[in-house]
Amino acid sequence: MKIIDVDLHIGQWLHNSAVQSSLATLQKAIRRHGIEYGLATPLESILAEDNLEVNYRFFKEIEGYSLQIMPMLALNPQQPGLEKAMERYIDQAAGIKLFHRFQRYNLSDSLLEIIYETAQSTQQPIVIPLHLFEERIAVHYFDYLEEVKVEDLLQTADAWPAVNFVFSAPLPYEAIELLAAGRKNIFVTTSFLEGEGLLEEIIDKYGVQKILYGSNYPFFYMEASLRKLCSQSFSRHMMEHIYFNNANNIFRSDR
Amino acid sequence: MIIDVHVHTYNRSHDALLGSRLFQEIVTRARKAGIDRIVISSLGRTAYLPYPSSQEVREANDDVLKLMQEFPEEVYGLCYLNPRNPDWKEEMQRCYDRGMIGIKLWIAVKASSPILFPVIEAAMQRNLFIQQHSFLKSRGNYRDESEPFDVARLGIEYPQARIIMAHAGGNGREGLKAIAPMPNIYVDTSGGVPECGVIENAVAILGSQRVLFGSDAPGRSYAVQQAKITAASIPAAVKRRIMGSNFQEFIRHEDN
Repeated sequence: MKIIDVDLHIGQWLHNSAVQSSLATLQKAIRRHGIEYGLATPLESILAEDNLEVNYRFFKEIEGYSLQIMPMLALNPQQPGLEKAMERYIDQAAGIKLFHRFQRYNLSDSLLEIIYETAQSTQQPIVIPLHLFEERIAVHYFDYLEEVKVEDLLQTADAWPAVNFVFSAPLPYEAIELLAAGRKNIFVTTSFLEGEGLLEEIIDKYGVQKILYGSNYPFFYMEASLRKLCSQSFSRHMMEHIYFNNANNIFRSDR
Repeated sequence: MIIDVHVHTYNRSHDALLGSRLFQEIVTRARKAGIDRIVISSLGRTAYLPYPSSQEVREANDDVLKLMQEFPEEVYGLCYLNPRNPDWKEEMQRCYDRGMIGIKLWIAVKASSPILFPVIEAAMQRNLFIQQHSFLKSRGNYRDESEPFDVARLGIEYPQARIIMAHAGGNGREGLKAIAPMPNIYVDTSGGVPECGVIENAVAILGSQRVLFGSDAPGRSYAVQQAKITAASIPAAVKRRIMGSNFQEFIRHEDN
């Protein structure tokens, strides 16, 4: 079965030395686990001070790697180089990534309009990670992290109905609130969705088309995310949607 | 043999997230995930109750007793207690008489509180071990929620008591270091996201014999929590110990 992992990162996480991945180790890991395509973002983009610089380094480095690793264009609307980075890399990217919670801005900020307009005109999806790590014990550096406001996410999706929004790594209740709103342009990933019966319940209620596979590697073990789906009583048809078809429709991996 | 030392019953508050589940499903799902035995407690029939009344405690424990009767080969029961209730001792005795093997303590009383001491003494007299919830939250714990330092103090006070501190990942390196000098305190791997490095840290700090596999199902997934162990960068023999043989030895120790 083909798998697209939409929730991958490259780099080292300062707050946990076990969390690190280079392009080389990522390539090895996705091959070992039978992943067809992985959509990756550099972790350094979270704290980077220039959009062009950080994306230049990442897109240049990724040139030497197989097409299995597809780069996401990570943007911070508060930092310089935004327009140039989009102009230069939007066509090469699998999608746009925004770390608004970690970079402390609101998704309704007018600074983001240019990003939404670009996403709309290029039909690029926007991926917004809601969580990355165990926040209950690890937020010393990220003390400012506020609760996810699902209402804000819904408003953003409503304001830009032609843009597909993938909210990656929501907690279970956040995913349920997002999906219960019934928006056509909202999708969620599986990486933080854990509980005995949770995915079955979500799929029963909201359909299989809304769920994309994501591992949150290297924060999480790739194996943990894969086993999560294998252990459920899903039909092959459902698995194909979660693992591949849904992401393939949104991200156009044939690009 | 794979033994999950930290499982709870489904309760009504799970319905919204996990769907309305058959009571027995917590056992059949474990079986499907390749787990041979589960150590289960109920923190309440309607929800996880931090300060349950005597009646609520009895109901919770009745649910576990029912599972023990229905699945005698697969289920070990833990007796949930609120040490603030005047009749905790009668409830402990009732659970002990019906075959429960340990005491489950959540967040009614801190592990370092003298309120808990008579409970520990009574448990030791009956050869019951203690599974104590603990977390080291960066934004502060609940009022009576234990930190690992509380568990360490309990271990010092009662060096003969056998204690499992729950949630290796929730206590961080600092928390694991706090209990490291007390050989009578074990840790379970339950709960928390499958973050890389948690199990490796636990083994490095506590050694391979004091780490026990736990999932915290149904709030967590059996499969994901097992993968934390199987994917960790530790030797295969250590993984086997964590997944089952450490707990078998822990129980044997109880029997002696």
